[in-house]
Amino acid sequence: METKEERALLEAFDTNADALFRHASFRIGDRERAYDLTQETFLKAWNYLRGGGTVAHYKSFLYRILHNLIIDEYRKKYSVSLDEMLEDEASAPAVEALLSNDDGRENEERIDERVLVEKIRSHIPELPEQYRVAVTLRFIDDFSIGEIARTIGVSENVVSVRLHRGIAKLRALCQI
Amino acid sequence: MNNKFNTYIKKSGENISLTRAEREKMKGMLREYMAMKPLRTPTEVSAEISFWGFSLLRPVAAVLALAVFASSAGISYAARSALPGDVLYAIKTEVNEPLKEALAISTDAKQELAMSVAGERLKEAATLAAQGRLDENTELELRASFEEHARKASDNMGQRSETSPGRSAEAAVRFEAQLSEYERVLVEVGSAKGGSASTLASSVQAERERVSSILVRAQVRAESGTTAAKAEAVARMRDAAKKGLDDSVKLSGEVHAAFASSSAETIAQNLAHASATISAGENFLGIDAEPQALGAFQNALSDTEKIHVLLQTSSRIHKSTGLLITEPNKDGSDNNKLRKGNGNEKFPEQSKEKASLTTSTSGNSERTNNSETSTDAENSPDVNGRTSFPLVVPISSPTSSVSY
Repeated sequence: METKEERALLEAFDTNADALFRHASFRIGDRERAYDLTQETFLKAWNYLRGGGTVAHYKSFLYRILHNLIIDEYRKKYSVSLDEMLEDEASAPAVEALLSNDDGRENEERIDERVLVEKIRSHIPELPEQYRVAVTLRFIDDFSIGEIARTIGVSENVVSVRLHRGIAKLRALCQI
Repeated sequence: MNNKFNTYIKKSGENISLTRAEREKMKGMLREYMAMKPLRTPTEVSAEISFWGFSLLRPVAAVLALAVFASSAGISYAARSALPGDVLYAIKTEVNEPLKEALAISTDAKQELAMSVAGERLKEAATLAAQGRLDENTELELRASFEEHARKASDNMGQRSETSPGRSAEAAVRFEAQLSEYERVLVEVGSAKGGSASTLASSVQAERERVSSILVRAQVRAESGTTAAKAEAVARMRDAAKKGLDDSVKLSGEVHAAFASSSAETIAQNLAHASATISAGENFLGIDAEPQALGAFQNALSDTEKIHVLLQTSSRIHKSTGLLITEPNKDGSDNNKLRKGNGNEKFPEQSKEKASLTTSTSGNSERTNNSETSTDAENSPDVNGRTSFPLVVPISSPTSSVSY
């Protein structure tokens, strides 16, 4: 006796729940909270549908809800000001310049892959939130630049820049 | 851009997924939620639904009736610690609580429930304040609900202060102690986070004063009662104090992770002190000094209720923010390290001493010797032997590491 809306959301659940959970886990680093937020995402989605809303693409719809929930979560958990959430834009180009030489390539091949992956994982929380969002959506969720732009509501250029700087910063943190 | 590095980034996200059980649980919850809150269609709005003889005009009421008679245990359970702003909060306040009210038949049950719901509003406010999420509107709503239920409880106590003063006094002691602790917590959490829950705190204070005067009335009434009635009142207070202590000791074991170890020690000391007070009360009974016994049991009951409120509220705050409750440094400055619990904080020696903290029921006093727990220099006991317990919620930049 499922209505078609219920069926649609349940199907969207089957398709997206895991990915949403992974995204949340990666960004906030707390598995239990990630579960709660994922749950909350779907309940909110249902409220929206109940209120008469229509959804064209569940994936981006759900990601947007989750993204907003994570932003709220980050704000309330750490009470950081918006300034601290942004990277110091002035120093970012300098960091990039240091890494553009790419003789890091040799080092990388020598490092044990597992160690590197662990390093990355442990340094992700140190990325400023804006970079972390872009990196997560790109590499964990496989979003295109366009999809990222639409999800977080900025231009594609901004996404590219944040992505580039995020990766550079992450490499710097991992000392690669 | 080095593509190899990028693949490693990708790899670092692998192996994070929901277990099959988690998926099914979440999906089940979603199904239940959708069933509880069906889509609104235009025709439903004006339909008249006859249900058990009642006429329910609006679908909202239909959902409530459905919830009362059907079991959605999963949703109800999940809603129990929902906060204003959460999707499940409506379930908590419009389904769970009315259901409990419908099930509370006796006056006692109604009174206890009213006290409990009033306290719940305050816990919600404290948790939101700790998260920095307590805005003005929410505070006003919580305050309105708090006042409604607190008033219900205290009206009840007031009415019974004439007919059953012993019963009324015991409830009033508990409620007053609870409100006093909630007030303190709200003020501390509010000031620690820069915002404040001052409107709510002053409302709590007003209710507390009301309960306080009801307590006095009940006590005066009790004093002019028969010997048997007076003895019964003392016994009632004693039993409540013992139960309060047991509950608090049990809870302290369950929520130790929410406290820094120094704070945990302080709590343990306070529990030990309450236990000693109960023993003193028993001694007084032994020498027929009833008024002194009553006073002792009353003090112990009041203390254990306060500890209980602190434990519950701190645990909630810890669960939703990960913050540990700790104390200010010796120089009075706030301890600014974010204390993320690693689960190793324990109440010192208490796991072994729990047995000795619960007083025996035979009436013989058991003096518990708690000199093993060290006393912090800045926590010197006050005149009554109680150590006051400042509550500071530290906030700072995150140092959490990603771990799965």
